[in-house]
Amino acid sequence: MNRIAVEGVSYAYGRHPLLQDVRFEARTGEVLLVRGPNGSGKSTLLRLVAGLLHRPSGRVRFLEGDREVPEGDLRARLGMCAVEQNLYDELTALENLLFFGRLRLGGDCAGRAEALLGRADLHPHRHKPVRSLSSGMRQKLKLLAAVVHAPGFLLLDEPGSNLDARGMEFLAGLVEEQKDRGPVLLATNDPREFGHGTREYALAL
Amino acid sequence: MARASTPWLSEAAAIFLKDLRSELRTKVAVNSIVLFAVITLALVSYTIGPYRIPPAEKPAILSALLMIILFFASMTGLSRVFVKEEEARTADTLRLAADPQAVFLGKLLLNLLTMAGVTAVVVPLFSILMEFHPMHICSFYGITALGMLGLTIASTLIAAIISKAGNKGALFPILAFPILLPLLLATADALSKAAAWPDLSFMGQALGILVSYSGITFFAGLILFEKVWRA
Repeated sequence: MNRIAVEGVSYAYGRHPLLQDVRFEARTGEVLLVRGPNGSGKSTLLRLVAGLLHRPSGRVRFLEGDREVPEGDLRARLGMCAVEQNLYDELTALENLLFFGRLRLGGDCAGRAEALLGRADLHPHRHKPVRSLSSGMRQKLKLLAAVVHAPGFLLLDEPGSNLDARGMEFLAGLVEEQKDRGPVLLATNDPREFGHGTREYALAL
Repeated sequence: MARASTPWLSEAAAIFLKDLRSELRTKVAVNSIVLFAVITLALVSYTIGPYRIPPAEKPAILSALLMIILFFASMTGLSRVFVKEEEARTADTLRLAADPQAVFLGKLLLNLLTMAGVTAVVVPLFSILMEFHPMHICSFYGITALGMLGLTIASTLIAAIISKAGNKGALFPILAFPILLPLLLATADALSKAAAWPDLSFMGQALGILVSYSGITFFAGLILFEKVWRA
């Protein structure tokens, strides 16, 4: 049983408080929807959880059973896909997945990368540079890069951006599979993604 | 599939190969460094040339000129390794996936390869165009290599510091100059001695300074980089 425990996290941009005393817990089998109007801090919250922003107060714990995952081991266990994160444009789709897979798994993950590309209908495009892919294809590839190491914790920020109906089916399958592996935090305002959630955490302006 | 983190040397190799592949496809850093070096070299050789400098002052002046060319050439391209990650918004993706020390080492390896290539082109060309024939050729090239090693290590760390700043292009040389000045002075001094001195008695002190500088900046980089990278 994996858990993400967010305990009293606050954040301010300069003198403007954005998040105050955020507390929740999500566990394996759960997809926690993080909802709120634009500017309420959904993306910031996910960046704080991932450790991409310094947390001035509160803490975030990633737990496997009762054992807290040390910060140094987290990158092998955490996956994240966000709007403001990109892949390498000049590398091909397959090269991107192999790169992130090698960083996180240590060895060759060609078999898994090829299989994931097939699931996302990207296999015919695997040798194309990312810059030549459509925005929807790039989004699916970003999702694959976030799960290429089969993470125990997954953070998704507006994962359905630019996805068509078939892309949304792929996303649904991916979230369904992932929640058996560990908790998923999904920040969104897109009604098409609300159905993935098992619980909801609402942020206000 | 949960597992312990991968060995960081293997990660550093992956990052180096990714950056090398990327650079071979775009050639942004290599083109800017080589073009700057060749243009500066042509300008120096055309305006000053080998005969306008008094022979007694030639070793000191040409050694300083060579370091100036290599310093400014490196300033045009070495910061790309981090600036590009921030501008292309790939830095966070990399932060989440890689060990900070592996990132530093991988980026450093690419910069070392780039500067080795630039030095291998510029130094012989400079020697030919300026008719600069050092007395101790092996020592001369060895000192140049050590000087470039120190310059590249320090520049890589500074590149990480400035990558999130607004005016990166101007900030890089401004921040780099005071940090690199002792190295540049020591290298230029040792080069002029390798070019003119009858013996190699200067080498002990020169090696001591250059190796110490590289060692200190390398280990400082490994220790400090995580703070810089996660800031």
